[in-house]
Amino acid sequence: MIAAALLALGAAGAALYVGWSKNTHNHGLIADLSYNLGGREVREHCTTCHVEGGLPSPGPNAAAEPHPDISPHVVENLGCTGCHLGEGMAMDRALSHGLPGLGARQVLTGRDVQGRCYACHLLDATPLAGAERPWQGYQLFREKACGLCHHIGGLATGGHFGPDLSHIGSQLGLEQLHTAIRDPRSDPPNSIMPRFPLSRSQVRDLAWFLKSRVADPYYATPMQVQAGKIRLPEVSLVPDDVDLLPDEDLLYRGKCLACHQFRDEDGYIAPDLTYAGRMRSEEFIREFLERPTRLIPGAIMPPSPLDAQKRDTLATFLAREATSEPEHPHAKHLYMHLCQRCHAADGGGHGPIEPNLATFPRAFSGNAEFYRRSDDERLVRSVERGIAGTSMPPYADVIDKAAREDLLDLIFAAFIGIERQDKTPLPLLPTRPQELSAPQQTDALYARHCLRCHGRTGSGKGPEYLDHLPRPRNLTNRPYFAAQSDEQVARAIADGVSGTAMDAFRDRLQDRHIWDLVDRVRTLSGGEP
Amino acid sequence: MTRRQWLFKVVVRPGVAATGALLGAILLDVWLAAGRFTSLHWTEATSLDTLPEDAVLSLPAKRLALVRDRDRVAALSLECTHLGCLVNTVEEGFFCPCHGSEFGPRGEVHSGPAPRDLDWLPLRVHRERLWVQAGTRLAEPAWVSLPANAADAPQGNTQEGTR
Repeated sequence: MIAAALLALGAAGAALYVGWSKNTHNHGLIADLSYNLGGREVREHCTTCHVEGGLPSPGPNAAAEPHPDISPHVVENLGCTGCHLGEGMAMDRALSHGLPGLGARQVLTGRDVQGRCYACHLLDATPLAGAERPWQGYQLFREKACGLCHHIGGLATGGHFGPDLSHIGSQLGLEQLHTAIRDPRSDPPNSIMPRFPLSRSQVRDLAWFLKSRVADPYYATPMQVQAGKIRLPEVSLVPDDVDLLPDEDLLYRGKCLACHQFRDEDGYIAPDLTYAGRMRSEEFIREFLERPTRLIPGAIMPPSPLDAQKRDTLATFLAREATSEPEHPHAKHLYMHLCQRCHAADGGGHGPIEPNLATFPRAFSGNAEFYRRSDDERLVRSVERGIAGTSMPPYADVIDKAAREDLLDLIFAAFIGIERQDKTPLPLLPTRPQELSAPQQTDALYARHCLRCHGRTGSGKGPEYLDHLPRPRNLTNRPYFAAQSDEQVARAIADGVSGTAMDAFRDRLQDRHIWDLVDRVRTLSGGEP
Repeated sequence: MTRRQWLFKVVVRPGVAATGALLGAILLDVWLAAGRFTSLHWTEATSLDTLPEDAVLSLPAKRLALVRDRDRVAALSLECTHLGCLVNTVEEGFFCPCHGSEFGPRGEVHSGPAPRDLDWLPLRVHRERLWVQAGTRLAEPAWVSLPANAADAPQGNTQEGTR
């Protein structure tokens, strides 16, 4: 009995001794880390790195393996959380690896650690050795004109169209950043950020760069950032390996090509500008650059970063350079050249840039009923003069009348699938009453029938607007409604719009109420046609 | 005077007084410090001559906007009532870039996840300058009438606002 007890004691002693002597720390014996990072004291428990209750566990992440060489950095001086994030003072694995949720303090391992380099180091004109990818991410940030909408600390100019990203690395984890860039509409679903055509590795670069935008960077105090003492380096946006036309550099400087197409350069986000000078007047382009939503309400384009003089030069440049007509050996080439970008190659309306447009491009295929009810004259006019207040430009000066007719014939034959003359006679509209109802009555009518989709202010963003594609019409779109006659508006209310969620209200409304609502639409869109 | 009385007079009474004074000083210091760091004090928003005519002056750095209506002005908080993002001033009013809430020109919520209108802040004019209390949220605008010719004529003393 005593011998057994002695043996057990001996074994325990031996185990303790072996345990003690088997010191696998390559950075000395440390129970609790306390170190100085950029003048700030940071403390950590051993569980930050020793994930299972303090015992070094085998495996790829275990600190039992020697830390790779990170000279000139020294592990003893840096601690773990400085680079790897995680909750330094946590006592168990779940917490020490970053609290669940948005993953802001998720432990970074392997290559992801580069996402932290620029939280301590100021971005420079050349990348830090070993941190080239987040540096590339910064170049991309500038190139893709992220700064037109998002502000980040350290840039003199910056839009406030989108959320401020100065501290985004302290708020979101890498995975969340990745998702937010790859699929902005996953959360929130009403996000207006376009989905940029970036490769997986480019998104990764951007995410690493954004991960380094933290609330308390070690290279500066918040006060220095606020005072504009910290500047991120300029990125040359004009490529030097291509021959540019005079003033064409403005397309790069104004960051137009991050989204728009001009000849062979394409951002795959926004409409083609190649013929913009022929479609739109110089005044239109100038005004549009200054405030896009005035001419196309709901457009997601931010105001141009160019100054007034450069905007003028750009407008002149577009008008001057858009002299050549597109070559159109055949209507189908013309369609693919001019229409496909919005209306899609299959005519379904889901063209590559459709999600970024203010209004859904009219679908051709599967939408025969709409074309049966639309005057041919109206369709011809839409192609010729465009549709005001939307992204549909006038094609009168871009392609000649014969080509426009060919194009319409092609669209009817290939997508709509009916004869151009095949029209449904529509029932007569009720006559307009002498006197309209009182505004309070119309308010109630509007609230009952229209508000769900069109919203209280008529902006087309009612509580249910996300359920419908095409989205409900923005009733405050002044240019659009200025070009619509009262009869057209009344027709849409009475008989609905096929191919959209707009129902026919003829049976649900009294005749005179249709005209009350027409009047309400006129009020919302700000005036008479 | 007995020894006890003398001791009481010389040691205990001044001791109590000193302790009381010390405690009082500490309390006073805490009280003052709390006053200094609270958001319930008046901070300067801008000077009167920077106010635009009949428009909104957005001060995103201070997280507020000054809404001018002819001869009166009020301060509107730019923090979205949903999650506190800074809203942008747009032509139609205010727009929150985080989740797309839209507000009218007077901060009334039009759409989006924001549950209620933007908050108003107390505002007052003092020595040619506008001061706001960023810590107090009001449901109704606290309009302040501007002194006549606020933009050019030098004005006298404090001009208390009307609530």
